[in-house]
Amino acid sequence: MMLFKLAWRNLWRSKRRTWITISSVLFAVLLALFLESMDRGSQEVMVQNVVRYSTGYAQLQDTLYFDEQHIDNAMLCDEDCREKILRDFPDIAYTVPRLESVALAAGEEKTRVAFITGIDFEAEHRFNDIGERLREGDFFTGGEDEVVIGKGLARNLDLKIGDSLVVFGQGFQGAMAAGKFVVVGLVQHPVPDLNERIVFMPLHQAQWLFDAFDRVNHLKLVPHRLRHHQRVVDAINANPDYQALQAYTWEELQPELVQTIEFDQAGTLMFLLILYVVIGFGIFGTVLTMTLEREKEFGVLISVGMQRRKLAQVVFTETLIMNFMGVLLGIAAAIPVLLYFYYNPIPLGEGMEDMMAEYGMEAVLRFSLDPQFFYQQAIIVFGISMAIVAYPVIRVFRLDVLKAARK
Amino acid sequence: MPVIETNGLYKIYNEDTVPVYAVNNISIQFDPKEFTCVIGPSGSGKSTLLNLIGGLDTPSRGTVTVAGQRIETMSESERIRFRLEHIGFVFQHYNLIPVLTAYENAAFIMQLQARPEEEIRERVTGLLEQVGLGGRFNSRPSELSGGEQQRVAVVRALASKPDFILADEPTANLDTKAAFNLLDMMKQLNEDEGITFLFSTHDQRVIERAGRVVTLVDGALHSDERKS
Ligand SMILES: Nc1ncnc2c1ncn2[C@@H]1O[C@H](COP(=O)(O)OP(=O)(O)OP(=O)(O)O)[C@@H](O)[C@H]1O
Ligand SMILES: [Mg+2]
Repeated sequence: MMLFKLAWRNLWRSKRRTWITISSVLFAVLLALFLESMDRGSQEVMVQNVVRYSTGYAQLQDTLYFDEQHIDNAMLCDEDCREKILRDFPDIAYTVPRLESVALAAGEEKTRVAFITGIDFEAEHRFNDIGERLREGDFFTGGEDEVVIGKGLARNLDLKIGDSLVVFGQGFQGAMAAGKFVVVGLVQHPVPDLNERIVFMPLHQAQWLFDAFDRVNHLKLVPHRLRHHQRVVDAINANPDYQALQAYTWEELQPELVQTIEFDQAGTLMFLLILYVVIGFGIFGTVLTMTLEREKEFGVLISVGMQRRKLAQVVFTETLIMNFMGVLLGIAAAIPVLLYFYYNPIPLGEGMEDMMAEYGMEAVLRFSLDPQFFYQQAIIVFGISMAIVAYPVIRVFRLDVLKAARK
Repeated sequence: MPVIETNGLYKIYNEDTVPVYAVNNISIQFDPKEFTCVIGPSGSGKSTLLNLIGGLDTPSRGTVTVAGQRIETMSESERIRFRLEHIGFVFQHYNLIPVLTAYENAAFIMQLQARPEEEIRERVTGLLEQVGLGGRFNSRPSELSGGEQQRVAVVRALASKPDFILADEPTANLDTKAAFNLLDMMKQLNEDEGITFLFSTHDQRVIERAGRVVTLVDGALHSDERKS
């Protein structure tokens, strides 16, 4: 207790210096958290957008499909099969089937390459809110031969609600796929490329069109908790009943996205490293002067009978308190700031909008509140200060009492 | 039995090149309750001798026995422990911890010894009042005069009732009046508490108050006079 009192009083020997050090730790933590939050926020958005509108967090495919993503390798899976999956793997909340193939789509006069996608609308909407992207009409009215198409495709083909669309392509194992459909809805697909190509139709209708009954290209597996996707994939791949199928995580299906994120993280890490070094030297400077200017006093304390170990405890506690305060205040300051930006993302300039839209993202900088990086940053800054405290501790153990007293 | 006994004590610097005999073959004893002053020209080895006796320095040769224990063979941490339990120190300056009050400084050693808080309060309060610092308990060292600071240092050294108190030029930074006051106070405590004092000084007038005067020249014992 006396040691703590001593440390505490020593800390406030030079109030200004201590506050400057605490503030530098505070701002380091604040800045690091801000950067991390922004970084993670944009990554989360990126993953969400890309994953939601493309592969899903986990996906089940025919074993051949991964290498040759063609309708010929579509897997057999009907309603019963989907229900069995839910029974077999309780981590999975629901599945989202898709049967998709490229085909020509023609309006009155123009023709475009289109991306014909058979969906279970309810499952699809539950997964990615595609219904919210509907701009005109309905997502199917229950009539025959209905399609909902991307606004971009509609514009390119000069189509509006009620017009007919002719699809011509190849179905399962070379079967001819041709049909005439009526446009009942227009969606603004968030992925620009897909907005110009997408043609949604009910799953059974696509199966009929492509002559692929009970088949789907893949099933998205949506776990109850999104971060359990790896567990779900591992469970399926380990189950002998599913030998003909193969499950993948989004990381396996989208290595480019993983790379982009890693690259992004490396950039932030570089910046943080520089920040850590700068802050580290700042704290070190304070600790250095705090130590050197007191060597004489240390000498007296050891002379009168204070064990070096106890004295080391005092200087250790001093640095500990200083950094603890810095880290805690930094986190305390970061929380309101990050909360604000979490609810009010920073809008990006006009120029960015197009670029961001390429990835199907809103042109805003989103922030993450993932608690994980809060304590990660805290631990790192704390670790740095622990490395720094080694200096005065070593100094205390090496101190030559007689020399110190003579100074 | 003497409190302090040295035998054939040497401290030699640069033994391999140009040897400096800072302490040169000193064998001396100090008895309980003695009030001894070590004098000698600058560089005669006063500080070195006191440091050897206090276990702050290790001799090149010879032995130092304090309270029946050989201290020159102890490990550093044992010596620190021994100092805490057996020896009180008063230095020339920079004695006190600047962030602690007069009272806390005076209580410091007893607290390091983990004595009961009640005992500490009684003892330290009594001593501080006795040396005329009754009203300055909560003053920081920077708020005390040099003489007051040294008095707190003496109380700190004395409070734990060590076997003896070592003071290397305790009056060097004090004006004459403060120096006399400190010496009178030390003398008084020496009589009241029966604690052995061993101090060094340059000050001729201070010497007159000592019961025994040991003179060093070039590290060797030159004279040793006891007054009755
Ligand atoms: N670390 C050292 N290295 C070499 N020589 C030293 C060292 N410490 C002390 N000496 C020498 O030992 C001798 C005795 O020094 P000491 O400090 O004990 O003298 P002193 O009597 O206390 O002098 P003063 O009255 O000036 O305090 C001196 O000649 C000094 O130069
Ligand atoms: Mg000296």
